[in-house]
Amino acid sequence: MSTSTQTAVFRALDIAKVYQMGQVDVHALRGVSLELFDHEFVVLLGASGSGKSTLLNILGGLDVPTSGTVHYRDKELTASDDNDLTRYRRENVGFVFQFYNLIPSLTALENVELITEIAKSPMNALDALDLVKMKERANHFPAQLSGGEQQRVAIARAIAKNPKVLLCDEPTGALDVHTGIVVLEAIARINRELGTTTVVITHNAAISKMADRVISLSDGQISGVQTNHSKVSAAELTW
Amino acid sequence: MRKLDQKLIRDLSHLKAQAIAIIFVIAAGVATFVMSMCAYKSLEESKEVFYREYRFAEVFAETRRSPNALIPRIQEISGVAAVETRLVYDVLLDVPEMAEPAIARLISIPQSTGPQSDTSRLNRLYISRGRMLEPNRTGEVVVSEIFADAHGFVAGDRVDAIINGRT
Repeated sequence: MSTSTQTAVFRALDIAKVYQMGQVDVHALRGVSLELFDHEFVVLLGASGSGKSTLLNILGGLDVPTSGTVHYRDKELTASDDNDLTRYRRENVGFVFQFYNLIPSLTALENVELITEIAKSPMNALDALDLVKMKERANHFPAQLSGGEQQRVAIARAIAKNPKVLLCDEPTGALDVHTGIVVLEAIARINRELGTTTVVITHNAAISKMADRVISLSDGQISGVQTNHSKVSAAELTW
Repeated sequence: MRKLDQKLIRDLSHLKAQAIAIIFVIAAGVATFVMSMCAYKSLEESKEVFYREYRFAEVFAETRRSPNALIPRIQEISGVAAVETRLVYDVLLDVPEMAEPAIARLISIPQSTGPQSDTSRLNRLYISRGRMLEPNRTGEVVVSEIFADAHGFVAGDRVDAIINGRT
């Protein structure tokens, strides 16, 4: 697939992130430059500690790099203050985390509605649950759902506000193969049907087959970029 | 209803017992506070009322060898609303149970006072037991309640005093 004709959603230039742990400086990212494009499905592949979560958090406006610049379309995230970043996250970014972070005292539907209440142009909360095949269980509380179901609710919550980008940090990390595939199918469907630019972090190389592009990270640097000319559907994945 | 409010209500209903306990603790605290404020206010008010009714003086001054003719001049001082003069004299008391004589301070009471209650212009006495001094009767005193209680005196008791070297 040719990426040069597409609009870049994200442009990161030479970003570095240094955490200070007492006396020691930890270099989580050492000069990462990348572009992500509209409607693209990207897998960020790397071992734990390779800096992929740091990179995702920076793209999502949860963290700021120590040096380098990040643009989201025309907006320079690295020049934004906290309020700007909050608005950017609220209006543009959907997050899915390894641990679903659902509110236990609200049902699946209410967890999604929590977001649709504050979003600018949200979709119907039930439609969002339908996209991840959770409509039938809309009135169940998180404790009554399996891990995979909770993760699908978390995805529905992330996409209910119609975000431009969907950032997933190890969405299948806590799930078994079968459930993981159901969750990945839900993510792929969002990407396909809504055209949401999707970034999935994983340390599981098998998942990279379903991506348009695979960016490998190791030791805080991009160690390889691979474009898949023929994507594999989530259902065909095994690990 | 907003979902966050719904969450709050559900979370609170899960913590019903704790929530009720917290409400009671806060209510008890507020009640205690209100009660002590009320007590403080009413004590303050009682004090004011007592001072007003018994015309407690705001300024005390002591002079020596001052004739009554000075009273009009004191009255003229700006800001003085009422003047009353009294004689103050320290004497020795022969209290039976005490090995050494006690020192007492005698304070005169204006002659115009009524028999039942003190009608002095300032510093009226509150008679808790017995009666007020009768005009033109000698040998009568009103003693402070604490002094009477300390020595077991009751109304009508007799105590010898040495005034100016004479019993």
